[in-house]
Order: sequence, then C-alpha cells, then structure tokens
Amino acid sequence: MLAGNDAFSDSDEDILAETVLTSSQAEVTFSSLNTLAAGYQHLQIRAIIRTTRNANNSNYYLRFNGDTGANYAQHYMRGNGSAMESNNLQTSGTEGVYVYQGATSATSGTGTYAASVIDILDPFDTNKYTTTRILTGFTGAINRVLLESGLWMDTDAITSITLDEYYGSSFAAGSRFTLIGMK
Amino acid sequence: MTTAWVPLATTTLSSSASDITFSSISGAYRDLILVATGKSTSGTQDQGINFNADGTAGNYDCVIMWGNGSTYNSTTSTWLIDYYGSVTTDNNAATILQIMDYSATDKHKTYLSRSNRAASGVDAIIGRWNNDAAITSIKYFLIGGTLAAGTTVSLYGSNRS
Repeated sequence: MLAGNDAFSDSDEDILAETVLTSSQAEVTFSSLNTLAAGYQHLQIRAIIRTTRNANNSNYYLRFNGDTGANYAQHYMRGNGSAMESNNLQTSGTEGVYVYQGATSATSGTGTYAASVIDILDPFDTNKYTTTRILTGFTGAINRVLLESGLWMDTDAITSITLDEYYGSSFAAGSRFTLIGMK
Repeated sequence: MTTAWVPLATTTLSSSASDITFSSISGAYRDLILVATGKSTSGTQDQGINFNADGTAGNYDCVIMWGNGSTYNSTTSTWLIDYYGSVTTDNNAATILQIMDYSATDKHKTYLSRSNRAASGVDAIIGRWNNDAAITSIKYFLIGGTLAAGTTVSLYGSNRS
C-alpha cells in the first residue's frame, strides 16, 4: 500500500458509505458516486428506519441525481397479515422511487424499526434506465411486507442518491443507512 | 474500502440433529445473513429461528406473503422463516435470512426472510424479535421435525464502515 492510498481489496462487495443517525434528520444523501462507486456494477442500500411521523408507518423515497422531473415509475406487492394486494404506485412520479411503507413511526411501538434491502441495478450504465428492487416491511401496531419495483427513466449515470421521508417528517435517531458496491 | 461480507461459520450435518446453533457471535458486525438449505428426516416441515436461546413464541412475530402457483395470501406467525418454502427430505428449498442491526441494544431485532421451494411456492417474510438485547446466538430448527444429514446452514457478517 502506498502512503495515502486505501489498502488493496479484492472483495467483490464493499461498504462504500454508512450513516447512523444519532439525532433525527430530514434526509440522507450518498454523493460523489461517480468516484466513490467507480468500478462497481450494482449498488445495494441496507437500511433500518424509524421516522418521527405521528403515525404507525411511513414512506421514504430515493431521488437520483436530485432529479425532480416526472421520471419515476413503480409497482408493489404487499401483505398485511390477512390479505395481499398489488398496485401501480406511480407511472411518472417526480419525487423519486418510493420505498412505500418502508419505515415505522412514532406510534408503531417501542423499539420497532422497518428493514429495507434495496438493490439498484446497473446505475452507471448510460445505455439504460436504472431499475431498483426493494424488499421491506415491519411488524408492530400494523404489519407490512412488500416487494417493490422501481424505475428511474433517465440514462444518466447515478452520481447521488437522496433518501427523504415522504411526509415531511424526519428519520429518527437510531436509523441506519449502508451503501454497498457490487462488482 | 471495507469488505462487505465476512463468512463466519458453516455447518453441514453429517447425521440428523434437532437444530443447528451458532453461539458466541461477535458483535463486531452490522448485519447478519443466514443461508439455509434444510432437509428433514420425515415429511414437510417449516423452519424456525430463535435468538439468544429465547424459546418463548410470544416474543417473536412476523408477517408473511406467499404464492403457491395458484393462489396467494398473507398471514402472521411467530418465529417462522418460511411458509411454502418449507423443507422436505431433499435439499430443494433455500432460505436467506437478513438480520438487521443484530448487535444494537436500542431496538428490537428485525429480519427479512426470502424462502423458496420450486415445487411448492415462494415467500417473503418480515419478522421481529421483541427484545433490545444484542444477538449472540442463533438457533435454526424445524418446527415439527428433525434436521437430516445434508442440511447446510451458513452465517455471514457485514462489516461496519
């Protein structure tokens, strides 16, 4: 290892960044991905999230490159413990790919957090739109398990990902966001 | 750059056993992933999980959605980690369990399970152990049966940044 350089790693999956909140925060951004994630084919976000919203669940969205154009689409499939449903969540959304019901909130029950594993496929390929695959949910005051698709209809390489609470509340202390790169 | 995943342990049974338990799990990692290809000595059996030797079903809850090729639905249970992804006397079912923030002491432990058995169906499950304690041991077992020789369970840890 040369002085000033990172140690060589031959891993195929590496931790690129991680944010653990010690106080509530409105949004979390992973930026400079053109350099931070250079050489990786796919990204994964692993998150465990509670929000300050006064409800028993919440949503958040993933906004790529700060884009607020009508460029987001997705479907979901959901179980609530007694029934299943599937819906077209958006076809030309402007705020991002929703992680629908991917967070617990203030009345979800003490100690309860939602878990999400989000795969972002080929986000640096400028020949295709970027797709996402999400598994998320929680148990508590209500129960939810969801598989969600997502599409950002832009061929730009992703340089930043912003995670933002949907209702204008904040991510609560204890929430954690990890960005992994996959070769 | 920090390597994401570290293999911690793998057990393949050479003879039947009531469970596979990983003990003295270090708290050095952020998440755990458990990969199981289970096999039962008799019949179709569901897989279960216990943490820190807590065998009280009421301390666990989960929500399940499943499809079996002709219908689909959602239900709840306790420490179940499959529904139609249950195991039989072959190794044709696979379950991957992601245990998030397992060593945190300020939150209940939430886990995501994806289980499949091509001949019967596919499941997605979110579960919770209603306890703030750091997880130091994991017991994998069949709820109504015995694990057969050939069952393999692996445990991985994800590094912190």
